[in-house]
Amino acid sequence: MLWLTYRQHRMQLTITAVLLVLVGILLLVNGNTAAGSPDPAKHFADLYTYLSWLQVVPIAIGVFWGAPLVAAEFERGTTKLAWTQSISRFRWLGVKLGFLAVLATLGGLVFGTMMQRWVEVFPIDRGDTAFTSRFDNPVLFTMTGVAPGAWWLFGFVLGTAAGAVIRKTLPAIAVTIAVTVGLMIGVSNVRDLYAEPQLVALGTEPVGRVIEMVQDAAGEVTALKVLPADWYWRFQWTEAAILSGVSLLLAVAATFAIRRRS
Amino acid sequence: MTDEPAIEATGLGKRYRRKWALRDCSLSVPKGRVVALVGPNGAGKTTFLHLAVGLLDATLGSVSIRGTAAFLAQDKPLYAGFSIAEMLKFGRRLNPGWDDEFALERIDSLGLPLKHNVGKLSGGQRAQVALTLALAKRPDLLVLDEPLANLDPLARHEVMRGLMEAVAETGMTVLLSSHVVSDLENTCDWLIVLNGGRVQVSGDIDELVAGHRILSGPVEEADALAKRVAIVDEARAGRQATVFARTRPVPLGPQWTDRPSTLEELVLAYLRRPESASLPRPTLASA
Repeated sequence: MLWLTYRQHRMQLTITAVLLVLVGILLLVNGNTAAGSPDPAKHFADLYTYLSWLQVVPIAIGVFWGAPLVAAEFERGTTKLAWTQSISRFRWLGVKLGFLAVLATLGGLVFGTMMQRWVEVFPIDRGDTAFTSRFDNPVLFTMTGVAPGAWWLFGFVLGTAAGAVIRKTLPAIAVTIAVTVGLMIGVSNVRDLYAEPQLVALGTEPVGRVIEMVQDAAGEVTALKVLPADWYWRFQWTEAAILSGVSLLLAVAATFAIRRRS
Repeated sequence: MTDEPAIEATGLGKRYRRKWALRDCSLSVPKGRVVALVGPNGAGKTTFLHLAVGLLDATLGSVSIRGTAAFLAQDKPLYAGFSIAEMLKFGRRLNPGWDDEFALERIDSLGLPLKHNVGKLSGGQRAQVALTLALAKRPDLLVLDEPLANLDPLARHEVMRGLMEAVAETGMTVLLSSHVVSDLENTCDWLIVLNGGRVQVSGDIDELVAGHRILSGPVEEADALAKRVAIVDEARAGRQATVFARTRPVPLGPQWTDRPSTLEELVLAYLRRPESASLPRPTLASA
């Protein structure tokens, strides 16, 4: 069954691996150049213009890995082949979903780690801090640390579940794109709610995001509510936990969708 | 009577949303038979086969099979982009009882190179590879949905011959559906007629054919005849009545002629009269 999963999806796996290597090489070259440059911010901006597009990778994973996984088999009638062998359809789905979910997560984690190493080259107090900060910049936040692993996993399982429920590849792709984009926008709007901000006196605030200015009766700002930048990992794990939980529910939905109907 | 039937359905029914595709289907087939499941399009043949191999769950009743089953779907699904060797590997990996030697020999005897991409096979070759995949599982029951549909006459012959060789070798039970009766005449020994989701006929073909006759005679004597024999179908043209009856040879008046029925006539007579049925007695398994 593992062999079958690999054989049926080796095209997607190979392309993803090649793209990861290419991105890795780009990051390595750019990071090394920037490290020895008097103006690293310029090198950051040069690559970031293109790199920021990679936040759509979870959607691509959903479209190319997930949506066809079950839907294409329904369309081609091969479910009738696969489900009349000596293993149950649930084991069939379990192995496919499990194996590829692990690979998608690993791919996302590799990507996140590479991005992480690259971003570390650039001091966050140089130039536009919100832009180069992996904590404040929502695009960098989803592309560094463990968040990409969770997003790739989510994209994949969502695509699979959509394909299992709808049983047609194209509509499943449409749903995958719409839901992932919607969730990306939604999550970036609620990310500040992952933790209660720290209340700090004016002038003692840590590096981070100012959520609210606390004023006294006279309208004078006395304190700030801040999300410190060193809560980055806490926020990363929170996001990863939320997305993994949703992925698990979607996997259950996919399993439910392929059961025998009576 | 000691043998469990190869296929047994009891009150089997399947409903898609509001429409019943299959209803009150009860039948029993002894093992080792080659069963022809015939009926018009939409009669519920595919539904019955899918229920038998466990692709669908019954809405009512149950169907059980003895031992392991292999299934060949109507469109002969194979994985796009796989070579024949990879399709065989698929079978080997997913079936503990897989007979690799048999599969390789059969592909070789078909003259197909193992490296060949299954997407580039002709209809007949594709059917043969799909059939090899099913046979190499060494099933007790082989279920085929319209195996000859979309094949040219030569390919039909080749596929049927391959199937019959395997049956002769292993003695497995075969259940195959078709809407063309002439395809099945020389190969099958059990007949199931399905019409509008209901079973009309289930029985040994030789016994069925021997038990039906076509009688012709004057219209005015037809009603008297109806009291003596079970009439399945009747056609009246002018003064002449032609009666398709479920009967052994019976003494007839001088103006009557009779002849045995062919399998095709038998199927047609029942299909024309959905209210008629020739269903097995409970002692069927001894047949």
